Amino acid sequence: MSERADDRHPDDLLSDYVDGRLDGEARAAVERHLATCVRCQDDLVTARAGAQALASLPEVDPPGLADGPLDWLTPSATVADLATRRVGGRTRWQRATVALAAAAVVVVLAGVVTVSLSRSEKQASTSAGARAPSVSATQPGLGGALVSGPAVVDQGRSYTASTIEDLAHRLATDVEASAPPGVLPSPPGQSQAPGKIQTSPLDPATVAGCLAGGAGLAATDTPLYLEAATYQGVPAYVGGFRTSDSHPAFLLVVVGRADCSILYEARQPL
Amino acid sequence: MTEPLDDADLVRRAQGGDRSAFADLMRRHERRIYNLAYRMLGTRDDAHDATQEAFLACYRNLGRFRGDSAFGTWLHRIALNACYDSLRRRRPTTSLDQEDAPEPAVADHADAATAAADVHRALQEVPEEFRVVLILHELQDVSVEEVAAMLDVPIGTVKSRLFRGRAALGRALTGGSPAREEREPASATPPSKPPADHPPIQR
Repeated sequence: MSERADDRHPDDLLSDYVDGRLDGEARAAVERHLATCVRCQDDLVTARAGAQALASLPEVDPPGLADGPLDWLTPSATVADLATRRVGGRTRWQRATVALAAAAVVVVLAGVVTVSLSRSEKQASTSAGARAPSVSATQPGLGGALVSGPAVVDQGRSYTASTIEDLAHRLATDVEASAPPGVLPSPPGQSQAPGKIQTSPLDPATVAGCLAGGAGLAATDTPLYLEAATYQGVPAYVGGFRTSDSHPAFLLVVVGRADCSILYEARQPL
Repeated sequence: MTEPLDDADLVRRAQGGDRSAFADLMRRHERRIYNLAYRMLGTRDDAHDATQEAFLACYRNLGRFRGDSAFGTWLHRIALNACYDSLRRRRPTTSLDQEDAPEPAVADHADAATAAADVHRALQEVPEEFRVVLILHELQDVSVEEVAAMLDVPIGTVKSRLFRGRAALGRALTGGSPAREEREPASATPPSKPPADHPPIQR
């Protein structure tokens, strides 16, 4: 029996009664009640009609979200972003581009000034060395604050899923180790030019904007890492971000250069 | 011959960053989640948004799903929260468009189409705490026990809402007021509405 049985009208028993699932004393009690209660008699009739109506209701076909673009499915997207995305997906992209373009001048200048810094100082992980290609340590996510970011690295790398995972793991380790989080060391691997970060003539704002649009990141997400490379033969951008939700992680995103569509995403918890 | 992966396997892969595994999870569960949202919210647009929000919240919180409950149950709770959010955001004068009438399985029977549309419309007039029980139990064959667990209410409450919900629907179909009494007595437990991103997970 239910602890919520209403002495006046045993609604919790009546649903079982409608379904023919009441036996013995419970059934007798309900029938005794029904004999004198007009309200429940009426409800019984309408409840049967309602149950019958529901039995005839068909399933509808879902929109097939899994078979469409999945750019909306990123851990740092917010629920509020979805409505904009569905109605006019470019709005966030445009905002992201504007926000990053505002910082582009500063970033490019910083890149020009600091690109020649020797990498050997990196080992000391002092703030000056570690932050070489970025302007200043700001807190990502503060609207209106100076948005900084790294220059775009281009070492002609060719990535696969597993080397992206390796890179993500390595960068995440560096993000965890660096304080405050600033620029990350250049990627490991084949053509490591000792002592130098090769920057690309590509505009960091363009690269970051493509990443933000393709990966659905918020406009206030500051990239920690930007690289132009190829992914499985496709010209791509690789971007590293720190997520801003309650489970911090490092996100390494690969987008195609042609249409900024997401090609791969690696996530490393911090 | 490869066996299909079960939900737990897909969840583990998705937790490890395999987005295609999460896409497979979506494919498996989207029909139920979408139908839950559609019958709860009444319009395809709202159902689409709520379904998307549910999967996004699921993806974001996948790291904290430990498998103590079935994935589908956990996802259902997230989806219900997304539906409640949508209902809270809704303006009081939302009207249902004609185009939201569902297409029945038997497409050439105009009567069936009309009937299904009528039932769908009437269902939107049923109070929400009854409607959710009708959808879960009557339309999706979720057991009373599992509905109770999902909504964090006693089984007796579920049965009571089931009866009242059916009766309200029956009245709405005949053009009467679905709300003989609008809400349950004050002593009743209100439907559980945990924050959208942190549904209580059964342990």
